[in-house]
Amino acid sequence: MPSEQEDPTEPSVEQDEWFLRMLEEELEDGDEEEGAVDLTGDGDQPKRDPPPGAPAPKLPAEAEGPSGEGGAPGQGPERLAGSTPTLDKVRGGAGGEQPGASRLGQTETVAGEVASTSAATSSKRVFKRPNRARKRKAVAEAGTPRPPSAAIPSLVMNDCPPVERAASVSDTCPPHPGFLRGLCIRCGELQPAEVAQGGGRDERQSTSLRYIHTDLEVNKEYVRELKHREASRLIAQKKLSLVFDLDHTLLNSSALKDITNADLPLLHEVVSREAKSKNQGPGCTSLFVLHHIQMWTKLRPFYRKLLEECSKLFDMHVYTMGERGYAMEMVRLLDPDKSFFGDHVVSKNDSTSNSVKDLDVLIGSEKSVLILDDSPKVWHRHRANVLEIERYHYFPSSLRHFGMKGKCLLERRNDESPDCGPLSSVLKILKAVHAEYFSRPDPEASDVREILKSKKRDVLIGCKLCFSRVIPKAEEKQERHPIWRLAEEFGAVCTRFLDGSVTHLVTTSEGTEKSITAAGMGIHVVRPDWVHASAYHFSRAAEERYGIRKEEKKMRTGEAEEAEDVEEGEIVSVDKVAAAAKAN
Amino acid sequence: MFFLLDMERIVTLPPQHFGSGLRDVLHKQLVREVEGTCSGKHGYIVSVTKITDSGKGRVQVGTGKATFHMKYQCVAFRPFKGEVLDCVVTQITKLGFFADAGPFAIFVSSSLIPDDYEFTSGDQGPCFTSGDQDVAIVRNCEVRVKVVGIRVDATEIFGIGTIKEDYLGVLGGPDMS
Repeated sequence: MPSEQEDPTEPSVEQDEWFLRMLEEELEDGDEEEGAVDLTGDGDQPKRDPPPGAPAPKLPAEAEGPSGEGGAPGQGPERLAGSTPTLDKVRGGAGGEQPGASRLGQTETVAGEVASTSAATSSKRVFKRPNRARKRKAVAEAGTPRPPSAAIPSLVMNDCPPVERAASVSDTCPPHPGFLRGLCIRCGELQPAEVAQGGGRDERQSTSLRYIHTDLEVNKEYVRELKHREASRLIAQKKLSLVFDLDHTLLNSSALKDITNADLPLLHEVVSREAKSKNQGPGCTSLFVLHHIQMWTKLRPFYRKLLEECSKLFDMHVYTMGERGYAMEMVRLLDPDKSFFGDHVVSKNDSTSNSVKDLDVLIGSEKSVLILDDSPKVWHRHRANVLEIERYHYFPSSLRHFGMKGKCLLERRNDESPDCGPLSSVLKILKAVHAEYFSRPDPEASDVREILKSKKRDVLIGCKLCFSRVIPKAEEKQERHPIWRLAEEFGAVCTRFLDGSVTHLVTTSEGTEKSITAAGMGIHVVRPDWVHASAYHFSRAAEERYGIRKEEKKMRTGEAEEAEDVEEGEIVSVDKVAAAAKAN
Repeated sequence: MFFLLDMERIVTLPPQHFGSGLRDVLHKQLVREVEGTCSGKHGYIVSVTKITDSGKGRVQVGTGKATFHMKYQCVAFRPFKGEVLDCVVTQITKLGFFADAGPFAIFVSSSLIPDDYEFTSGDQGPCFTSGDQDVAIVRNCEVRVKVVGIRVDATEIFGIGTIKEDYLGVLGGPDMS
C-alpha cells in the first residue's frame, strides 16, 4: 500500500466507476445538495484500491477539510462541516466484505457517531471525486436543494393521486367538455398528454376562452351548448348581447410620442376645462393622460349614457384588437366599477385569430348578438351582425393613421355633440332593434341580423342613385364598389345611367357632365359623404348639407370631414365658433 | 390536508450578519425563504413552527458567505383529490366559479354545480342562484367544495371541485364571515 493511503488527511481520487454509481444510488435518498461529500472508508479493502498513479489532487474545497494527524478521523466533527452532512462509508474488518454491505451514514448521522465508528476502523481514507464534488457544489449554490424524502415519512408515499386512476365523476366524461389548466372541468381528469401537446388537433376541437381564464379551453360542442343556454337565459331576461369595439368607437387614443408640441396646449385646455366643469362624477371627465401606458385617451361624448341605456337592454362585451393591458386600462376608464362589462373583455391576446374578430369566443347566440364597430371588415363571418359607426378621430395621429387629411376634432377645438352625435344615433337604432326583436311573439325565432338588415333597407328606400366620378370607370364591376354596395344595403337602387327616375346624383365634382345635367333636371347632387352620413345615422341625411358647392368651398379652407362640419354648425357653442374663426 | 413536516434547507447568509444576532437573522431568513412557497410534493408551506437545528455555518470560499444546513418543522397544506374544503368564492363566470382555499385555487364548473342553479348577472354582479331563489353563490361567499381533480405543478397546485353532492355548497354569505 502506498503510504498516502494511510494518511486520512490526504484525499485522493477514487476512480472506480461502479463504486461511484453505487454511491449515487444510495445518495438518491440522501442529500443531493451536499457541497462536499466526504467518503470515508478503509483503505484495506483490496478490491477498491485506487488505481496506481492516482495521486491526490488537492481540491480547493479541501482547504477546510480535516487536517488532523494520521489516524485521527475523530476530529471530523470539529470542522465547520457540521453544516454539511457527511456521508461516511465505514467498513469494518479488513478484506472479505463486499461493498454492498457497507453502511451509509446519512445526513442524520451524528458527528460523534461518525467519530466513534471511524475510530473503530484501523485506517481511513477519504475518497473524493473532483467532478462530482464540484457538480454538487454547483447544485447547492444554485439554491435548489431537495429536501430528503426520508425526513417526511408522512408524505413519502407521495399521495399525489395517480390521475389515471381517477374515476370519472360524470358518466359522460369523456368527451371532456373543456380543460382548465389541463384539468377537465367536469371530472377533474388530466388532459391527455398528446392533446395538450399537439396544438393542431386541439385547435379544431376546442376554443380557447382566454378572457375568462388564461388557460381555459372548451370543447366546441360544449361552447355551442353554452351559447344556446346563454341565449335562452338572456331572452328570458329580455336582453340581447352587444359587442363594443374600443378604438374609434367608444374612444380615441394616441400615444404620448405622437402628440406634437402644437397639440399640447389644446389638450391642457380641455383638461382644465373639464376639471373646472361643475358636473363631477363618473362620465364627466373624458380626456385622460395615462402615463403608465404612455397614452392620451379621449372617451367619446355620450358614451356614459349609451352604456347606461344599453346595460338595461343588452349583455355587453368589449372586443378589441388592442393588447390585453391596454384593453383593461380602457375598460377601467369606461367602466370604473365594472358594472357594465364585468369580465367580458376580449382583447387581441384572447382572440382566436390575430387579424380577425370572431364571435366564437363569446358566449351568446349569433342570432342575438349586435356588434358596434367602426370597421366591419374585421368581422369576417359576422358582417350581418355589425352596426357600423363613424370613426371617432379626436387626436391628429388617429387621422394620420388612416391616411386622412383635414383637421381632427382636437385641432378644431371641438367634439362630437353629446346629444346628436353618432353614439346617440346608434343608441336609437339599438333600442329599435331590441324592441323589434322582443315584439315578436316568439323571440327565440327572431334574428337580429334580419332585423338589422330590414332596418338598414328602410333608410334610403325610394332613392335611386347614380354615381359620377366616384367609382372609377375602368372598374369592370361597378356593383362591387363599396359605396355601391353600401347604398344598396341601405335600400337605395343604384344605376350607371342618369335618367328621369334617378333621385340623387352622387359625385365628387361639380363640373362633370352628369352633375351639370342632373342639376338641370332638378335632381339632388350630393357628395359621397351623404351616403355615409345616412348610413351612420340610420336616416336619410339632409341633401342640402351635402351639396357639392359647399364641399368645394370647404375644400378650399382645408376642411374635409363634412359630416362633422354639419354637426358643428348645429351644436357648437358661440364661443367655440368665435375661437374657430379666430384660429382661421 | 395539513401536515407537520420535518424539513431541511441550506440557508446562505452574507457576512454582515455574522455576529451576536446571527441565529435570529438566520431564523428569519429561513422563514422568509420557506413560508408561502409551494412544491408539488409537499404542497404549500404555511408556517415554520420550530427550528430544530440551524447547524454550523460553513464559509464558502470566494464569496465569504456562510451556508447553514438547517432543520426545521413546518406546517404544510397539501390538497388531495377527494378532499372536502371550505373556500371563498373569488370570481364568477358563465362557465362556473373560482374559489380559494387559502393559497389553493379551485374551479367549480357549471356542470359540477347542482342543475337547478342558474347563472344570473344581477345588481351585485354575476352569481349562481338556486332554483328556489333561496341560495346564491356570489363573490366572497363561502362554499364547501369537494376536490375532484388536481394538477400539481412545480410551484403551483390547481384543482377542480364540485358542489354537486350532499352536504356541499354555500355555507354563508359574504357578510356572514
